[in-house]
Amino acid sequence: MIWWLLLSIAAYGGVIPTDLECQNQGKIRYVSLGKQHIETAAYCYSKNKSYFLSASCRDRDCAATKTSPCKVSLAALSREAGNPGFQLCHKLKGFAQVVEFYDGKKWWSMDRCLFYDGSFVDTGILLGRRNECK
Amino acid sequence: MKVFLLLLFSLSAGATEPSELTRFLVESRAAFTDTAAPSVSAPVFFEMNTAPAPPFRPRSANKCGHEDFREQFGENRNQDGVGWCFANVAADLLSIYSGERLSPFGLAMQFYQSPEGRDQMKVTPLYGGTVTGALEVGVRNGVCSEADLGSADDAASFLMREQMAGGKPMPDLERYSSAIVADSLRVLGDLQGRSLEKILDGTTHGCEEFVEASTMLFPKLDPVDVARGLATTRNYFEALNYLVRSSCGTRRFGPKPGLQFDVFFADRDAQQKPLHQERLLPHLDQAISAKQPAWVVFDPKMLFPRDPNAPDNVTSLHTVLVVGREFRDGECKFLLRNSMGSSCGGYLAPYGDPRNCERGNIWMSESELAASLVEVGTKR
Repeated sequence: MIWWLLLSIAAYGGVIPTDLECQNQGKIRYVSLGKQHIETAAYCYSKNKSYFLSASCRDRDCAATKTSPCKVSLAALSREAGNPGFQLCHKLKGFAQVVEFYDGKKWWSMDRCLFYDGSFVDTGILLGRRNECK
Repeated sequence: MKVFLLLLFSLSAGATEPSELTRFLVESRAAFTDTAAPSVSAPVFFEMNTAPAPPFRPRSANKCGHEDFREQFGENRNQDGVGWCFANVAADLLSIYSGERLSPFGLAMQFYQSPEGRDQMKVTPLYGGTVTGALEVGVRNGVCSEADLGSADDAASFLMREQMAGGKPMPDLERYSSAIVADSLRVLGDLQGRSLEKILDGTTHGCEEFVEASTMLFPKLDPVDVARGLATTRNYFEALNYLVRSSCGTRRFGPKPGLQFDVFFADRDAQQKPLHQERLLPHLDQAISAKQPAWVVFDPKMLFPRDPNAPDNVTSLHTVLVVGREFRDGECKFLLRNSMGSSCGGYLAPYGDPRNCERGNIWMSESELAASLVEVGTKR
């Protein structure tokens, strides 16, 4: 089932666009140990497929959005190489993963930062929240 | 010298004199000439063109023709937690000239076995490199395809889920860092040179940890064969070379003979700060007008926040492909194909805006790009 919803910009401090498309029986796939795995999950993504988060994070009621990225200093991020969103995810005790999600028509490449409760946001969202820290 | 060229989010304190660069280029060409290694293509070589270009002037719409050839590269890559932007760019370039989607992981491993890569390893292990260096080794030796040697394998996630499903405690996510590839490489590096028995008995790293690292990096190889490779090679570089080669066997891809690139560098002042960066822009513009992708090395300070306490003389460098150009919002902009996945939320304003970010591709104004450029590479 696909539905459209409006998401308050304030809920995510402006990091997420206002219109999201969600699927409660969506498919996520990734390669692990040389094999492809497909899991079913409830998630949302922006119309332009540039933002991705678990449905449980829509209302900010998930570990991925409750965890404050502000506690990670820019100095700590700068010391590391690579995608800073992945580094931030790691420092917040999440697990960064390259994935693809299915929108009902095709697979879209993306990444996510997976937290202990199974919730996730793409690493860009995580980094965007860090960018808003005072 | 290589430190300077591109180290994403790492210090760039190396001195780069034009004379050094010239010498490097000459040495590179000599190396090609002398090398009789198995080759899938004629060697690429690079020239540094120091001819001055006219100063930069912002252009009007009629001098900023629309070009967009991002489609030929497929979905954006994601370099994960390692500083392999250089390998992603080089793999993208070699992919379109070979007709096969090639593995940045395989190419990075090849680079680190080269003389330049070994030097790089002494400075920032596995965290940086040069596009030119990666292109050299890739063209000379061929590159494994992404299908044979995946760059996004994610063993730790699988293991974590297995543990969660079995009701076991969460594994230590700290260990499964975002730089998981680098971690796995370190595990194998620690084991290189030890006897097969020592590797498999788990005294240095637990057997499970070894198998994870082995399977993560070389899923097509039996861990015992990986252990054998580590035990029988003389050094780590040789071991990696053996393992990468084994992963795709003879299925290595490269461009047709005759592929050549030009590389242009910004001049440097006495303190090694880049000078006249805007004069690199015409070289980039010329390539895009010819519908040829180009790479740029630049300071990405406009994309990612910088540590406010970092010294002024510390420069972070990043490299991306440029795959388009368009007059947008009153400015001529270039389309940068970044290698940090398809997300747009992490870029500083205004680059995270949908007007400027399209699934990891970023429209950047020519003036802002020109002010941060240190290198432009184009196909001849």
